[in-house]
Amino acid sequence: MSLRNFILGLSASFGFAWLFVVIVPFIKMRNLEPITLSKDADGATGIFYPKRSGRIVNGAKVYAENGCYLCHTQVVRPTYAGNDLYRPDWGGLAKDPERGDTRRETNAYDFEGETFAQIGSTRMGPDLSNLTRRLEAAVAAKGSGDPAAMLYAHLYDPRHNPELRKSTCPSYRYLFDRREIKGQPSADALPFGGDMATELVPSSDAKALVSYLLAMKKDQPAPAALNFAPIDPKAAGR
Amino acid sequence: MSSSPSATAPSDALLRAGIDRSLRHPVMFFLTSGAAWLAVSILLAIIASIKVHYPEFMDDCPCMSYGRVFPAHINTLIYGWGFQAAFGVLIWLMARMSRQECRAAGTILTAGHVWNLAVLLGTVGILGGSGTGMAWMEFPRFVWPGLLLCYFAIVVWSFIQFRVREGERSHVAQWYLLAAMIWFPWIFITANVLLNCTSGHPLMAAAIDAWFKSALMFLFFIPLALGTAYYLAPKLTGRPIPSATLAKLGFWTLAVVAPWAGMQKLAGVPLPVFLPYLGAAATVLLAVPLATAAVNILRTIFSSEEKLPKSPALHFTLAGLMGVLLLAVAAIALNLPGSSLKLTQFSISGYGFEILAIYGCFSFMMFGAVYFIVPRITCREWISSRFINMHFFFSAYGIVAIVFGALFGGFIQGSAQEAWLQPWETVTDVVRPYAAVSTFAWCVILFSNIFFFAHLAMMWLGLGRRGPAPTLMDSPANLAVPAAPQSGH
Amino acid sequence: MDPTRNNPVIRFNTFWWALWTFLIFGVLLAAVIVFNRKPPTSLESAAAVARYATKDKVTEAQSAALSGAEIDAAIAKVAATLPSSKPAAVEKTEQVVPGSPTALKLAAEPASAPAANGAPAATPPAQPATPPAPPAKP
Repeated sequence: MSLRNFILGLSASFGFAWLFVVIVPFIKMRNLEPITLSKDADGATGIFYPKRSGRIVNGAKVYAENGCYLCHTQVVRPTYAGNDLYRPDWGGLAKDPERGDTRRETNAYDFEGETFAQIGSTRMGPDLSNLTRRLEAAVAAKGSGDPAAMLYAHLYDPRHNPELRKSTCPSYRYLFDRREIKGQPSADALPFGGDMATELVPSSDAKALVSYLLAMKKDQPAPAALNFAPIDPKAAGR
Repeated sequence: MSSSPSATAPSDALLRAGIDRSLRHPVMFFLTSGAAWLAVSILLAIIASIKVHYPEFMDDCPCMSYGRVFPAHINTLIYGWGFQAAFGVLIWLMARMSRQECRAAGTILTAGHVWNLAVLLGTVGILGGSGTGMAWMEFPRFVWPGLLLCYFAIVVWSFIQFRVREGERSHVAQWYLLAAMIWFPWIFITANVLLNCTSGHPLMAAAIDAWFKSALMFLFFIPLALGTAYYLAPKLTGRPIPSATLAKLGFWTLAVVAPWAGMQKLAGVPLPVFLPYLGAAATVLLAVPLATAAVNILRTIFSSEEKLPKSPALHFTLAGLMGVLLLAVAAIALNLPGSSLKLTQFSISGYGFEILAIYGCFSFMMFGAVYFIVPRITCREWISSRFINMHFFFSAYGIVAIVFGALFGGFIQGSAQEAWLQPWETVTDVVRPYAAVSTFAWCVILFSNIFFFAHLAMMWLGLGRRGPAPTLMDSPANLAVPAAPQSGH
Repeated sequence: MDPTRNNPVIRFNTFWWALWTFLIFGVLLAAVIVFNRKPPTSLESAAAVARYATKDKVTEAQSAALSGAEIDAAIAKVAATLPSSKPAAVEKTEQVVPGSPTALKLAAEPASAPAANGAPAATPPAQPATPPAPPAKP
């Protein structure tokens, strides 16, 4: 076998996979068409656009730089690939007061605005796809609280919350600044860690990150084309 | 399949000595700087591992935050140690097997220094908070073109040496080494250009990152390990490789199967469904080339009843081959869609598998090659067989602990994750003991590698033993008396 | 086969062949990228298509309801008469500017005023004159 044939053989065996697993899917996914909603099936017109508000780009950058993807995932797998959808608050809320069961699996339009989907490598901590839905439900159940404040407190000291005392989340206290209180305490200041003269306020990185996390509400109703939930026979009979 | 027979013994010995002399500085540079990065990487691994079961450890320091320390550990392990060990061994093996002296030692050394600088900048970047968040590509974006250029400047000469070798026949080790050399730029350029220079769908970016991880393991590190083993086993035992057919089969099945693997890490993710399942199937099928090559080389080693010399290189090669067999089993066990894939996908068994490939297989083969090569290029023998024993046994214990802990612990963690009726604290509790095992095991590995660094540094400083006989693992611990000053290999 | 493969020419050629080999898939990738340069349509742009369609419909309906030519003609007519017209006193209560002397006077007047038309009063020159009802202008 000559060097030339060796390289040709290598190119062929590699190139075939390269084309079909890397290049063609990359190009095709790049031009992914949005799903057009239909009046009968979805009750709305236009396209399926799970819009997110907040500082997605900046927040995703802080998320990546601080390695949150090492312990948290952002994908709710369909039931053939895992039990994520059975959990009551991962794919959405099982008992949302307005919409009932809002849980759905992640779809390809859930990462709009990001350049790299932080699917995550391990699950030391829970999945974050519907983090803010969980927080909002907790706030609604308790009658008080604020998801942003809860997130800031968690980032500063994850073990501060007695329910999460066994959490192994690192403390991101370096994302907070200690500032002198000028006049009134700042609205973003943490409720702990300060004293008479100083307060802990989130830095712009922390604000970007929390803004990104507050957009983690990926349980909008899926269009009929992407809705693989089992059909409720009672609802179908109507 | 062996290289063409040498000419008359003295001139061949002179040729080999000339090759060794020409490569002395580049190879020793790569091995010692690689070993230094290995130390850094293991230290970072220990810190990261402690933080998994004891998060308050060093939590005042932003650079030591888990999300930065862990990527720094992995990237220094791969680019700092893995690549430099690969370069040192690759350029020596290719030069010796092509029987060509190295004429570009200066260029290679310069490129090596630039490589180290790039890795240093990248590591500082990650620890300083500029990591990119893409697994195994966390160095800031400006680093990868520099690494690629240095790579060309280091390995292109080995390509030339192969081309101008005498004779037409090539050894199976040369195929693996040449292929690894060629595959790496293909996967590195593809992944880095698609992820850093073009815009595409975010999920495909994640998929290509996963593909890159697997391709780097199975199309660069593992072929280098297998090539080194195919060279060392016949050399150290004096026996030929038993089956040329198995050698060819093993190589070409790796070439055909490995490029498809990797995307099983994205099973259940909203990508075209064939991608992750092809990846899982390819990873399972990788057991074939791995087992084929391992069995072929093991048969070389054990093909006769004679007692083998207790050569350090042979011990490390054998350990590496056990690692390859274990990797083959793990590749099947971890990636069965429908049963184990959903358990291992987001658990620590992925880390265990990667460490098995990079440390358990590749690094052990590289250690074997180092113990073989360094005496030849420094014209000295290793000083202390005790040091070699400490390095070997503690590394072996350590890696077995980490790999079995992570692989098994990953299954337990995955089962806890799938138990959706239980609160999430169950999962955190379940992982803790395995993280503690991992910390202890990395400490043991660091301890073993202290002997390696010290020994290597002493050889670099020319303090090796002069003597006719190589240092074996069962040599007397105190090798004080030098005999005749020539070393004839 | 050739025992003198080890010569500078072959070495030089091999150097470039080696680089070419390393770069094959890089070059192919560059070709793929060059042929796929159009930036992908974001969901926002796709959603915007419907909005732009609505906007076009609205603009069309508005211009149909209001012809540009008619407006130009009307403007020409008013422009002709405007310079020669004199400010006329206000006739309707609704057109009195609140806070102006006229309004204050009206408010000071006894309650019989609301039934009648607003009594026009001479406005001081400094106040802006209440203009006669202009033609409807969109």
